[in-house]
Amino acid sequence: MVSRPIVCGPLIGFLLGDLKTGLIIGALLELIWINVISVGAAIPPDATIVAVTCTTLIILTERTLQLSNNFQGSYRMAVLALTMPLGEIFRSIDIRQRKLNAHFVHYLDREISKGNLKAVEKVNYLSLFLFFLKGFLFSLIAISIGVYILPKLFSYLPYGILRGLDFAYRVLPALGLAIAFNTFRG
Amino acid sequence: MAISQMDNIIIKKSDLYRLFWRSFCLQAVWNFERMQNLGFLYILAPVLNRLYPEKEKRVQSYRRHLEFFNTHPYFANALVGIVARLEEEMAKGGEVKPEQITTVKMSMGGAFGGIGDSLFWGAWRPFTALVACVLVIIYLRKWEGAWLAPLFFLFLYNFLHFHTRIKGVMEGYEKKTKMVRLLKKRHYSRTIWSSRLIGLGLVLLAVIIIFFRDWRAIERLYFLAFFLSIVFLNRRRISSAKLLYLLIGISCAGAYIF
Repeated sequence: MVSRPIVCGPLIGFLLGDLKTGLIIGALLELIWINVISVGAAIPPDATIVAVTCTTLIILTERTLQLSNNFQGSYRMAVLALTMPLGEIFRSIDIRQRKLNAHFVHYLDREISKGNLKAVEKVNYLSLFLFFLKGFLFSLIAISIGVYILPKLFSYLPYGILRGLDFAYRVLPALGLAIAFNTFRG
Repeated sequence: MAISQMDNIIIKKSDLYRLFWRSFCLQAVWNFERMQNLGFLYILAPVLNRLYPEKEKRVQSYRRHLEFFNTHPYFANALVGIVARLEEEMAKGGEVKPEQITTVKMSMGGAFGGIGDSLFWGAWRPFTALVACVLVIIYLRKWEGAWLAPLFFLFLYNFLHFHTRIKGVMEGYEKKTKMVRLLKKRHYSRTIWSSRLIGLGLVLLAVIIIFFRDWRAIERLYFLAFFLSIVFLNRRRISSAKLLYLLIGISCAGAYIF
């Protein structure tokens, strides 16, 4: 369960030297995704990739921007809003990989009939590595693009939008807590 | 069969621990066609290797476990234990038939899947995560030890998680299919029910704490209005992302109007 936002957010924050930001973003995202469960064959949007990219981008770019206190919240909200769709994109990649995993099944069908039993373990480790590689490459690409684009994009936003984003950031816990409330109500 | 040969066939306790360690890779080759079948085979491989020294029988046993399999990843361990026991009895020449093992895997996989989803995904994980989030909300401003909250979550969550995994293999091996009756006795429904109730209380506590933070009246009003409107709409079909964009949209519109 290191993959949950409440853990991987602070972990990223700790690695990048800003634990407090990691904790806040992690807790906010955890509350928003708290009801996401994978029942049976359903694959939910990926909360981990959103938490990792969002926390990393906020910590890395906030230093260079040197925002005043009034706009820190609006910048964080903008980053969060732009990284949110990554969860859906990553989900579709995930589904494709799990469909392709069926090839491993057919491959093992043949190999086991031939008597090559060691292939079971090899395929397992290979597939684990592919899962890792997918997440690693995806977040690497997303973060490197984000580091260049986000600060530039942010400077184009008009004052009214900035105020709105700041306001949204302050009341964001309401959204997470309401989702949590509905989850526990059953 | 000589006694020394019989000893070779018996599954030892160390084998069960190996099954436990391997069980973390259950979903490594998760696929849409037969789901966790390869993961299950991977976990069971050491036991099959020990039980069937002859290549011919070993290949057959591997092929039997290539079929469709799906259950909750933590409760899968109970089935691993049960199947290991049944395979052992079959290898010793007992009355167990291959079809019987398949049936057990199918039927109990579904039952365990139901229990596991409602216990872990539906109640325990949201509850422990919420506890950590509320700790962050309470302590972030006053106390520097807020970083303990994620560790607390990991500890609390994995307590039940590891308990289920270890007990699953051990008790599944010992008690075979009587396991189901045991699960009924364990009162999982009480755990689910009480974690939901405490969870609701914690959410309300967090709302009160945030509401009395030092901020402007309009923010307070807006916070409460947004919370209550989502709670009363209670549309769980709307994704979290959409609700987030709705919040941003309303805030930006509000910023232009006021």
